Amino acid sequence: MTTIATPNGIREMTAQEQANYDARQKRWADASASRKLARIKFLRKERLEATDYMANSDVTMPDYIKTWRQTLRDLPQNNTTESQYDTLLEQNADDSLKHSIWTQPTE
Amino acid sequence: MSKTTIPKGGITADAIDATLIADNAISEEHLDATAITASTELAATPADTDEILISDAGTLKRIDFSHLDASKFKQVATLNVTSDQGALTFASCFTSTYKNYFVVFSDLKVATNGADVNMLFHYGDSNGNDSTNHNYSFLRRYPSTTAGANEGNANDIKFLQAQKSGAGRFAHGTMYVFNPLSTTDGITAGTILSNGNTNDGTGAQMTVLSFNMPESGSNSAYTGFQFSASSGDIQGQITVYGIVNPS
Repeated sequence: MTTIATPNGIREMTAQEQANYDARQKRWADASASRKLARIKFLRKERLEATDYMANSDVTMPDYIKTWRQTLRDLPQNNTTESQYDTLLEQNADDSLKHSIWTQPTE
Repeated sequence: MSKTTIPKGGITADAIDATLIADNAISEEHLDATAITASTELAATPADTDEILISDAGTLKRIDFSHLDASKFKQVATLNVTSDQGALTFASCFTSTYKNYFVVFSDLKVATNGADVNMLFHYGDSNGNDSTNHNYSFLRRYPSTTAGANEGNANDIKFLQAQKSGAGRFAHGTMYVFNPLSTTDGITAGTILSNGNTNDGTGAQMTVLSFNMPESGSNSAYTGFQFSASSGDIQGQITVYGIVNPS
């Protein structure tokens, strides 16, 4: 039985509290893949927005940036399993993202 | 008329009682500091009905401590746990004594890396009776970006996203709760300001969030609330203050 903290101390959960707790764990687990995909889309959006200015008429977007942006756009269709999401979201020890797709190319 | 000097040794100890001292005769020069320092120490916040001596424009009067306590935030409940728990919960901290409440939370730690930190209300004085519909809007600042969104009828109110676990990873913040007992005179609402270590990249996250409860009035009044992690357990310190109603 899971324990719960109250102003009067720590005690075991009641049956109803445990059921609510279990439901919460299930919701989290069931949404795992969609949560990771949302995270990938958020990271992608950050990077696309950071290079949007290169599409202005007075700026020439380098081909390697065009290629990178297209690869970012294609991430959801080219990565469809939770295992692939995990690979994309893997982090280094300093919490930075490990996969090279998240780093803007320089040429 | 000649005066007779009574030698000190001629008066028995404690012989002078209150009836022999003239009215208004005890002035400051006859009062020693030991009247205070030698008295028993209270060593606690005085009760509302404890009394203090005061000069009211030159007239000595007694006054209840309640009249001197100017604090407008009154602690009504607190908990502090440094071990992982399924939830941090207050079943019945909201009462008719106060209409609005202020909550301080600190040192919140999630056991599951990347879990969200959530809040929901209890009703009917029971931790098991949880609110299930929550409307809220938030602005969340990550280390390098800002995200915002609206949530309607969510299972709970997510006030920190993807909190990082481990040593030194804490979340802190404050929450106002307005009108939690309301069933007829307006909706329950509130605001949350929070800071934490995010798992979404390096650094900190800050969230500004406003919520209301669409089910206010359909359930009985909200009598308490709960903090939990979206996955796994949580620990931390939470204190609830009632905000003294305007006089």
